[in-house]
Amino acid sequence: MSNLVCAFKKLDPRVQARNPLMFLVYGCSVVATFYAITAPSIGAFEVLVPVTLWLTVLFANLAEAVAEGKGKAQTDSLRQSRQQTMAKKLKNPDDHGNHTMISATSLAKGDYVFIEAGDVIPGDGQVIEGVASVDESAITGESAPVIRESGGDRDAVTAGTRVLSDWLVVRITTNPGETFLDRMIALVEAGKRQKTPNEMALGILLAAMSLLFLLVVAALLPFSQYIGGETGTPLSMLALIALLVCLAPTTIGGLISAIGIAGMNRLLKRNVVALSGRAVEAAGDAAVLLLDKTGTITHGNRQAVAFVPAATVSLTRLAEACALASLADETPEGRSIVALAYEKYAVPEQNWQDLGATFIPFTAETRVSGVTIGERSIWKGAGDAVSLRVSKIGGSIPSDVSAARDAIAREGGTPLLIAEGNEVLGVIQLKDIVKAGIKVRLAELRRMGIKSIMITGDNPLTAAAIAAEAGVDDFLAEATPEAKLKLIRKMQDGGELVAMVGDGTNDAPALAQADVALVMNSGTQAAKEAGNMVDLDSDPTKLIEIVEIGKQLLMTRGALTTFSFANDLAKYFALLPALFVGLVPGLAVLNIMQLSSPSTAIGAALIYNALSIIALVPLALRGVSYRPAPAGYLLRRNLLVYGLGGVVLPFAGIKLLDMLLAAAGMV
Amino acid sequence: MDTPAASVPNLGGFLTVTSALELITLIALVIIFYKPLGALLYAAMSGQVPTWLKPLKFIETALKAVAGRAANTEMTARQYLKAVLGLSLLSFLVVWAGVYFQPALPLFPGAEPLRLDTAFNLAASYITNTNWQAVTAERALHPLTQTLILGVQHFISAAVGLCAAFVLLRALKRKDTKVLGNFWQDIIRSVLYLLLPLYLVYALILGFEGVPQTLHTELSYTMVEDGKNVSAPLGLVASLEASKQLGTNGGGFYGANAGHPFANPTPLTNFLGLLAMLLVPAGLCHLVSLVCNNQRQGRILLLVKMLSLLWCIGFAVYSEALPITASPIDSTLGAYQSGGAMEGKEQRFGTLSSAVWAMLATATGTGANNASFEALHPVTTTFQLILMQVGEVIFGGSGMGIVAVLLYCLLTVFIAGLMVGRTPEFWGKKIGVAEVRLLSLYILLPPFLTLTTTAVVLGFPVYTAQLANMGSIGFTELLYGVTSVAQNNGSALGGLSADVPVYNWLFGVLMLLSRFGTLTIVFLLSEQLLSRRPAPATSGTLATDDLTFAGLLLGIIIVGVLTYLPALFLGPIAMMVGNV
Repeated sequence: MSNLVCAFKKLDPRVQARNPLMFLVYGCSVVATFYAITAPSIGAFEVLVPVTLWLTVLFANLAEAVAEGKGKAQTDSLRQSRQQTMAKKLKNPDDHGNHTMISATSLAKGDYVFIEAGDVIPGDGQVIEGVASVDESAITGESAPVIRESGGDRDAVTAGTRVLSDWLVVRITTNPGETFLDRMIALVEAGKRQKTPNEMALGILLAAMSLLFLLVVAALLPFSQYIGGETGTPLSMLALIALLVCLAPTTIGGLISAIGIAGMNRLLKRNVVALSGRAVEAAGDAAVLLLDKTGTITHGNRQAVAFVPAATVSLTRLAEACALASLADETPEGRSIVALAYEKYAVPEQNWQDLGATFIPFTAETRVSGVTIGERSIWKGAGDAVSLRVSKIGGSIPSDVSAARDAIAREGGTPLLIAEGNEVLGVIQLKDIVKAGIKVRLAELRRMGIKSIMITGDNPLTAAAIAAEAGVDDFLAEATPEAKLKLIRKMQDGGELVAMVGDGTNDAPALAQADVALVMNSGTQAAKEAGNMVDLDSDPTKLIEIVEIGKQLLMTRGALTTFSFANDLAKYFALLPALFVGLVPGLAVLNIMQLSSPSTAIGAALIYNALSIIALVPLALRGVSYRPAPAGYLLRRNLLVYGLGGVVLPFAGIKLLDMLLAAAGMV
Repeated sequence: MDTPAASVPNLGGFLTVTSALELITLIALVIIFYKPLGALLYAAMSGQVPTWLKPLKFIETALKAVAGRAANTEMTARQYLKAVLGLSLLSFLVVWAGVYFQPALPLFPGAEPLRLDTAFNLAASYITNTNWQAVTAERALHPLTQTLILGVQHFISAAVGLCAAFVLLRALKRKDTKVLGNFWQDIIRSVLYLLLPLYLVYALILGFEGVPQTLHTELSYTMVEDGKNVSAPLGLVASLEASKQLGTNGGGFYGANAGHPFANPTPLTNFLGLLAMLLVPAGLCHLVSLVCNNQRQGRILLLVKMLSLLWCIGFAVYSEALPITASPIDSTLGAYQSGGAMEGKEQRFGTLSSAVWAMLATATGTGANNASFEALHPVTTTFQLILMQVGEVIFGGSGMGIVAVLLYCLLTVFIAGLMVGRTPEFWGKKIGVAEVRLLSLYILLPPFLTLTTTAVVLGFPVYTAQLANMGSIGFTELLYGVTSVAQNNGSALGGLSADVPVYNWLFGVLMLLSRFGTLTIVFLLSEQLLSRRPAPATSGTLATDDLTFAGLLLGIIIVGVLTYLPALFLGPIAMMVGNV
């Protein structure tokens, strides 16, 4: 109901002027109403034409309103919460006690706020101090709280989420009206929405077509006056207007806005926020997907499955060392090593704090981690990192260890070397579990003409084995931020559009370079700023879905455009004989559809025109059905449905409506 | 004398198998020749000349030496356009002044003075490759005016069209550059390696067949019927006829054009005339193949052009071969006449040849005629109008024909290409906002010129008074004339007496606006396309070289034709159903 009200509200000429084609129909409706009212005698025709024209405009408005409504429903509750949120603005970020309460909407970029347990986070920002658990279910729908803390990869907070425990000091990074929430709303509101490049191009073509048909129809008046001379029946203004509206591609013109909004809605439904519509379209064009191995192709956590000792080392010693080195390691890998040592190798359970051990944390520089217990230092890391460190302190890797390492890598496992001091004790075999179904997904991508490239920090051997298992087309092993950036540049120089997923700060340069950059919501602020889409669920696989949404958006637009143009053939055959038969009686023989009378023919064509808009609203909102297939197949199928259907359907539709009108007594 | 039809199977109406063989041979020859022609065009475009043309290379070298740097550095689209417009302006002034001052020129004894507006119209007409002739050429123009002033434009205007095609093709193919070739080099090569060799061969054959090629200006003879002494104008007819057909120009030596027995004396010259109109436009399809290194691409374009043309030819040939039932007209086949609607047609060609010629002349932008177009069946007139209105897509003029079909391809890709779920691209180049804007202008310009002009002119008696008929026929005469000049075709229905100042100025301006408006759009579009970096083709890319695409392209062409359908309903279609 509110959609209907909204459709009427959109009759404001300023709103209509945004869409030149529909503005033309709007103008026609006004003129037709005038002519109908001032007609010497008002019959069924004089009522039918303006009423149907207004319905055409209203139906287009309704389509837009329904699409907007769906998007609004998704954003409204969020907006509500935001308007009521109060923020504790800090004068000085170091002085937590000294804050003033202000409305969240008046926060500006660069402001510092203090957020305690129970508070709603008032704006998108970066945590600069503190650690807190945050409930992000409002935007992600995921009920498990997440940790947000300063200085790491989890420093970004989103407006509308709630702090559950502890406190945070957050620097606001967006101005009012620029938050994710605002961007989400802007994408689904016709008035604020920025049109995507492709939609703009189509809009230009449709405007040109409107102009062309205006010209064609306007020229008919002097033509008919000349041919009719003094005696002929001149063409009626209402009939000319009807012709103009029927010929103009109103089906696509009326639905183009709804299609765009609905595309964004589909994205929102999957919990993805696009920072611009352009990125969604670009996703449909992507020729290369850079997929992070971890989380996308394999389950995020690798599991330790075996320990392989060096020849001089007993398995028990190795297992114990492995457990010690990983005791303080809270990563899933670390925990799996400890678990393996306890369960399979019967290492007695210990607590590292009791042992007086000091944790050697993993850093990007050393790329190893471990513990020091008194004199002993036990640590583990990837092959190259360990060999570098061991050689620095005068050790070397025994040949049987490196052989075991390579064997594990070849099988797609990840070898971790473990060392005590400068003595390399053996290898831990970690295994990546390739996600079920990923191979099928990647094969689909290939059929769509999209190449998948796996990005991994693993060594080339490991990478090749997983790549083969998962069925990716190519991989980039031992990927550094520079290598990623270089790869993207190379692809783009070859004319390919590149899509990638990232989350860390070190992904930011590559994300900024990629054409489609999906950032995990759990990622850093820097990554989010570099990307152009954020996945609130932090699910890297979603990139594939986004590509499909992008393609579906373009396909829906193309299908309805084709349908609209194909409709014209039947409309010409229905309208032209009807229009000119008074002038040139012989043209009656071209009434091949055997329509009852000129009035019913014109009426039927107009009604068909209006109905086709409303009938296609569900399709515009849902999008044409899409499944991954090569372009040739998609084209032929859509052409058959929307092209051939567009030629045939109006013949049947207009004939049927004509019969109904005639049966209703219209002459 | 026996009736020749007795032994010949009949195909419907007065269409016989033997006459149909002419059409089949023509198509076969086009298919045989389109590749060698494409190779020649590629030689002209790239400068990689086949051995047998190498002897001509010194002319290119000499001309380029004279031109210096101007002919040796590649130009941006805008520089190229400026050069084209510059040369065209020069041509325009030379032709206008040359025709206007022909009585005063030393080589032109006894030439009649022309009005300023007539001279303006002729200049606009010849430099735009339209060759609309407001005057009866052999009477109003000195034979040397025809050869030295207008004949030169047969080459230049045709070559300018070819240059536009080269530029667009380069823009579609090149990347990471801002330059699109050198106009002077392109035009020299086009004339030297393509037009000139063809022209020499063709003109020689015409000469052998009896087409005059003489410096005598008239042939005096005594009429058999009444013994009166009369004279027929002569001149360098064979060479002019050759260049007029090859460069899709159409402006012949005689006002009767290829209907004149001196210009087109035998069935062979007539057949060659048909072939010559198609050679360059068909060869351009193969040029596309060579440029994009994909044989299928050019073949698909040729297929689309050929199918569309054959469809039109089918209707025209059938309509012209129908017996006329209205008495007292005798349209039966007999000892002294071919069967069918022979009014306005030459006995030596018959209905099929005349109908095919009418289709080719309008499809290719040549505009020549070997029969009276006014006397053709309204169905034929409808298809003539359609072929012109579709805007050179169906074969089209020298160079501009392939430009038109390539732009239609871009449009097709844009409308239907979205259906594969990617931003539309042609040869990897994306069709974005800027491209669509220019394409929209391209498709709007001709209908804008045609329909507004026709609509406005109908309101002024000074214009309508020049129409021989009223009602639908008069309307068709005007629509045909305006369409012909606004599409740079140049053919005419006899009913419009256009050599009056109001029409000469109006039509002259229309020809200039259409040609140079279109050229400007094409160059700006080339500039835009050049800036796009081509994306490599994948299985997700819409193929533009298969039958599905051919079908789509045909569909978009039909949508383009529909634009004019309302006007056609009131004109020739109304004539057809009997509102005369």
